[in-house]
Amino acid sequence: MIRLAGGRVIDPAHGRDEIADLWIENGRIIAQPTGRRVVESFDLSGKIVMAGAIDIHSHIAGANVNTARLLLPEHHRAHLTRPNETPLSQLGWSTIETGRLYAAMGFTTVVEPAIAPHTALHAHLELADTPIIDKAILAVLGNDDFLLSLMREKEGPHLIRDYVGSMLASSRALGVKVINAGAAMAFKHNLRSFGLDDVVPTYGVTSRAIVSALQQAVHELGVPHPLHLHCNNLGLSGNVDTALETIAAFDGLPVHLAHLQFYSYGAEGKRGFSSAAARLAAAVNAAKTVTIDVGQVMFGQTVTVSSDVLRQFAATKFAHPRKSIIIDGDTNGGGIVPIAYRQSSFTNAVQWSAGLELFLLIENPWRVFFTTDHPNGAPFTSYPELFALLMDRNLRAAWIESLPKPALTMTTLPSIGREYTLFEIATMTRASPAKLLGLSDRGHLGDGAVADIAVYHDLKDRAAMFRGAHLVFKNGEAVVRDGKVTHEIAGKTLHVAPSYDRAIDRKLDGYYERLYGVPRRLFVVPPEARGFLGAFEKVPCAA
Amino acid sequence: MPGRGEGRHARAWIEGVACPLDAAIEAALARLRKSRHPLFAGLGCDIEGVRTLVRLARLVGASIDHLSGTATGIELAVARDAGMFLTTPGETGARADTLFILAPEASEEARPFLERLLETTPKLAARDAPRNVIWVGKAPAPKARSRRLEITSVPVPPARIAPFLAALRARLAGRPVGTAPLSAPRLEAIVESLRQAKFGVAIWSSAALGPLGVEMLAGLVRDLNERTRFSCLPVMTTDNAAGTAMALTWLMGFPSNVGFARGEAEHDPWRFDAARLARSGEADLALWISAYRRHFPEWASAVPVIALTARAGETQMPGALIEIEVGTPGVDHDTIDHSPATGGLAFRAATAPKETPSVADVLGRICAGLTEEGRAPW
Repeated sequence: MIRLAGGRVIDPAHGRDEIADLWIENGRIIAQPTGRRVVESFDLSGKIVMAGAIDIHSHIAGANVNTARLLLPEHHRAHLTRPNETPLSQLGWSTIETGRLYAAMGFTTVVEPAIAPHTALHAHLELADTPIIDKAILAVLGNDDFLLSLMREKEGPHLIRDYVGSMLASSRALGVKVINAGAAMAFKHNLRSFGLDDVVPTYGVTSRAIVSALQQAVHELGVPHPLHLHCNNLGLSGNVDTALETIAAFDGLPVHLAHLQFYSYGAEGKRGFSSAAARLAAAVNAAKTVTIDVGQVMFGQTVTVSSDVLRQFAATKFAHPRKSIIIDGDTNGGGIVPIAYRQSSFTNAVQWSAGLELFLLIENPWRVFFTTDHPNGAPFTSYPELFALLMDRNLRAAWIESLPKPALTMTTLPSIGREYTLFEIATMTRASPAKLLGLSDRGHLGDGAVADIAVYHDLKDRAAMFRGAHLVFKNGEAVVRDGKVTHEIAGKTLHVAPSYDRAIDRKLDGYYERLYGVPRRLFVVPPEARGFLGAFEKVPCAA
Repeated sequence: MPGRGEGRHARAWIEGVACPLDAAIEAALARLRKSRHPLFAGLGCDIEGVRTLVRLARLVGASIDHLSGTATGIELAVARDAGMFLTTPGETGARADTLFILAPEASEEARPFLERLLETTPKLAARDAPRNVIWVGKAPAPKARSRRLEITSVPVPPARIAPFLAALRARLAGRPVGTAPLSAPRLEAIVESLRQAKFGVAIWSSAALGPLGVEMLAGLVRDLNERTRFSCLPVMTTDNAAGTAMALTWLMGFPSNVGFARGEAEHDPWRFDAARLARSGEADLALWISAYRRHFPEWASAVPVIALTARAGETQMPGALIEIEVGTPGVDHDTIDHSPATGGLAFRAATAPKETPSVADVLGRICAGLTEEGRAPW
């Protein structure tokens, strides 16, 4: 038994913020025991104790991420030779580094949110090679001929539900992501823009209808994580209207909107580009069933990795360095486009401001999640700087000082005084992600929880505090001391296995033979492959 | 598979003399311990093999190269330096209304795929017209066996393909062309045909086109996408080269040409070129891995070689210091490797399971030998 003595325990799931002891036994947190021997005790007086952090949206594995590694070897080099000088120095470019860098910051569970089911096996191989942290994938649906054909033929919701259930099972995913629904297919038909009410050529279904069908299917299957939605028109000036329409369409239904910062743009001002984050935040505040993550932009070189191939194709014109990879996949698309966000750029400064506005103007920390959409807005290693910006209005003011003045007239950020508390940070990075993903055994420090625990020095410099945890426990084992990984263990991969009518599997088998002339088993994660993958853990679905 | 790693049925040799697997592994371990700079090359193995060889490379500070001068190496280098549009075999078969096939004769491995492609109709094609095939090669295209197929043969030898592509690109942009390997009207007809594609796919053999040809082709496809849709599908190469490159990339950040001599992965295509390391004497030992077929590198005589090979014969391969027979992935043992049918990684059960050890089994035992003596694992 391990005792963590006298730390300030911040556990929003139980409304706790107090000096207290914690006990760990057999990898779990236990209530105060009596009459048992403490094997190891840690004096944590003056330290901050939280559950291990959970990242709900970070592109850390899979075919597209691996292609980004391939496209940008220079990022890896920067990582090696200038460890503390560039933001990219800590990109975490290999799977091994990814696990270690996340653990060092006190993160113990990370969700890779965009895996095309056909490449799920590849993603799970990478996740098996990502040490320490627990992982999960979201399966990307909404652009595949099979689903769109079901909708064109006006098949009932039960077939779509069975199809979604089968795809979740065969890809071993935790939930469903839909990315610019229908657009990857539309791009194959040479469409160059695609909105919520645009129709996919030859299928006669709108993006709105696809999202709606998938939202319903996910809900009916009892998958704990609501549909994870990447909206249309990402990154375009004036696209706040798309986000507002989407929120209006799903008001009252559980739905998660990913990286909302990239949809918070108005078309005001001389340059026709402004932050509309305040309007968007107000809409989110009013729509109580909607959750969002921010996708904050931070300044520096990074690379955008996205299955929104239509959008990524448009972005190739702005690639920096000037090279990109555009993929027309079997049922999906993908685009890898490097980008440098510059502090001196009007556009990038507005984007940076809009993200912070969303964080600060959305009132309920249970409904706004902490992401940079790694690596699209910034590498996940920039989280500590972002925590500090949210917690300190003076630090924000100092950053704002160095931005182009015209950008500041396009955002409300300078007028916002809110400062996040440690309790709110713990809510948005621990308690609420666990609730959103349906992971009842983590994100809190109650009796029976997995002993994933992060202990921080209570430093004035919040960035330094969160960059290197004082201690991190994974499943009750000490894995990090003072920001350094001391013990590398293997994490697990979390997934759901909803029940569905297996008749759909036979239908799919025949479909693959007919369309590709290739057996479907080559596109799934078969049970026999288990020996090559890491450990899996099933997350229950609602009955 | 229980018992496989013990290798009761494995063939092994040390300096030409047949020996038990244990003795061969001991000898390999001893050589790796003594080596100042081991080179790992070939790397024809499955994903599990790659995982183990990276672990071993970190332990002994090896340099790794399996791509220098290969077709996959050329494709990855061009994609990395200039970018590329890419698609899958499935999407090509199901959707492409236009196929732009270059130097098909250069790749024996591509033949079954191309033949199948010429027999199928694109069920998801945007236009209801015969599939248009532009066949650029030394020999004319096979005859169309279906009315759903229109084949145009364009006789251009491999060495002239890069200038041919440059001419197409210039004409597509409306620029004049001086000398081209084709007459002006024929060139114009091909440009028009590419332009008319709704979803075209270029298929080529990088070994024939070379880096400049591949880069020119990638540029042509990029230009075509200004108006229509077009993508690329390099013909799949053998020995799981693409799968090995994928796994090395996620494990180290680079697909090949990496050195661990200084403790962390350093990437340099020239410094960590297998042939150069072997011939210059910088590497004093080579670990050659070829689990899909039994073959040997040209530079083998320049350096002592420990070879892990498939389908060993009755005698040791000439020139190897130590040879250990390993199972062929997907035949002798279950595997995950790159599937030419899907263009991604896929699981395949063994078709004729045997107890011959896999690459991962053999290298895993060598790693265990090294970690027992206190070398730090990664």
